[in-house]
Amino acid sequence: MTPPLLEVCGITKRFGGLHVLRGVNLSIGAGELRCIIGPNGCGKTTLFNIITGAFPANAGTVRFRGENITGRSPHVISRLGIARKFQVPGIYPTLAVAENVEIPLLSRHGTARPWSMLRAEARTAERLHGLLARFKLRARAVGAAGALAHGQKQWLEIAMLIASDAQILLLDEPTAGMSATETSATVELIRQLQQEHGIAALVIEHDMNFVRRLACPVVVMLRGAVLFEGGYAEVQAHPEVREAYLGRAARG
Amino acid sequence: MSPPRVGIHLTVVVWLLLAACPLLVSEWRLSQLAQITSYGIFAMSLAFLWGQTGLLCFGQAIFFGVGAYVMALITKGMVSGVGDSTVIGLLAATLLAALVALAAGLLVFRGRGLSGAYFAIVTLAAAVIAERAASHSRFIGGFNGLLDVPPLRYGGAASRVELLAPTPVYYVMLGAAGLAYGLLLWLERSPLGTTLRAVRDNEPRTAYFGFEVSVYKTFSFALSGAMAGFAGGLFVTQFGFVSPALIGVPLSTEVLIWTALGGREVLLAAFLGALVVRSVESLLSEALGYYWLLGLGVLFIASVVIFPRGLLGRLLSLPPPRRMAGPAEPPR
Repeated sequence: MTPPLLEVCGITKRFGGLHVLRGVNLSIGAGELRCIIGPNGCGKTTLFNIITGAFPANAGTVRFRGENITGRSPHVISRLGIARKFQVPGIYPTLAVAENVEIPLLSRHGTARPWSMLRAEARTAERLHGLLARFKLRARAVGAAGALAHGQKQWLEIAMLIASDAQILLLDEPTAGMSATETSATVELIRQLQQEHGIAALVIEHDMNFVRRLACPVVVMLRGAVLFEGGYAEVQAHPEVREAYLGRAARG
Repeated sequence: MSPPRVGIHLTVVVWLLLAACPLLVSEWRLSQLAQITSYGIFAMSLAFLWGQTGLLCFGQAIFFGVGAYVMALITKGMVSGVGDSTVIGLLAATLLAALVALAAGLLVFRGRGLSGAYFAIVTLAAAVIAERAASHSRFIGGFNGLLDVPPLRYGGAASRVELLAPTPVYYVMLGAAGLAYGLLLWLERSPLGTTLRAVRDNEPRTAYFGFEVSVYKTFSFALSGAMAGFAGGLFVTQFGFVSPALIGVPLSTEVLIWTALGGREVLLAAFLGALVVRSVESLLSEALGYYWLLGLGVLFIASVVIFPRGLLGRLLSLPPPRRMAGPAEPPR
């Protein structure tokens, strides 16, 4: 039996006296989609931080393809194929849009050592411009990324994650600040990436409309633990979830 | 969309003007300019580290000073077994400064490493220590430094020629500056340069893409140190004298001012920053006395606040590397 792509077991995190995560369990297979919802401060982003190696957990393990990766450095975890999108677009504002996409392409070039990079150009150019075309950023290729509209910045960062040859995307509120049209385009994009490239995605999202349209299993977190896991309809029907998270929206 | 070409044209014009200087200025000014050119290379070394990699170094003169001292020791024949030629001296000055920077980089960037203000403060402290250490080392002349450092020379021991005429000296110095500029510009516009700017713009993001950021910071620091050492080695051939003042905080601060005023993100802007400030200084400082320092300080603060890219940075900035524009037609 093949192990799940990403498996989180009993992750616990304390900041001083504050229990941010209390034994979180989560598992996602290759090419699967999963949404994480939960009120602010329930530990969603902290969970991402621990998976990607930003800081160590107090207890528990993270496994990727069966390999224990708990406590490794961010650059090591990234090279395995786990790519993370930040809530505030994690792009390089003063660099050209094309340079932004070149960075993750370069990281997949050899061992990403300075001297191995001088002749990398020929190997990355084709994919670079293919990705820019795919994400409708070709016209802006040589302009500074900081000058893009907010929605375009979000897409640029997703393009960068794809360029890094990720097997799983950890997306922290990918549609924050997007218009309704852009949000539905993003749902489409994530589905396409899953279907065409078999890329799995773990998505933190507040927009319930987005969660409904992505139509994937939903993980509900509350006070540092997983409260419930199920389909969108089940989540909506679950009394505790309605009480804790959907609250007024569910009643209204 | 075609990026502005002004920067390219101006860059060519600046280099042509620099090449034409022997026709435009007096011999005395030219020999001054030859000396100042080494400060220009020094400023480019800092521009690469600070402007491209985002590491603000308050101790850049350590590497300049190491280069100057090594050059003086070798060309004065004080190091046995390596000869006393200009070329050997320059190579050793560059290499030793690079090694010092490499060792320091490995130390401070290890693991999560230092960045931002912490790095700046550590380099400041290091500059103070280096100056003190140089003042108390008898072998390198202690407080008085080393006098009578030979000028640029060529030819073997039997038929050695000293290069003293202002015009050839100036062209040698300008050639060295062009070499340094070419190398740094090539790196800056290569994928490696893009990666260094990525570290500057968003260090955590770059680590999350699989880059071991400390390696890139150390590399940039070592290369910048090498360039500063090269500049220091060239400087003593023109100045003829090396003292602890070359290794300490005051010169480190000065190079910071030249680089910031010119424009830290553009190599040529930093180079001109050094040339212009030092030239104006030699013209005006006698007339203005202490007011010169006051004026320079005010200008520095003004440029940091009003022109964060420096007075020349915007004018001389080049369009992104050509590979960014891609093929004329979209693929497929």
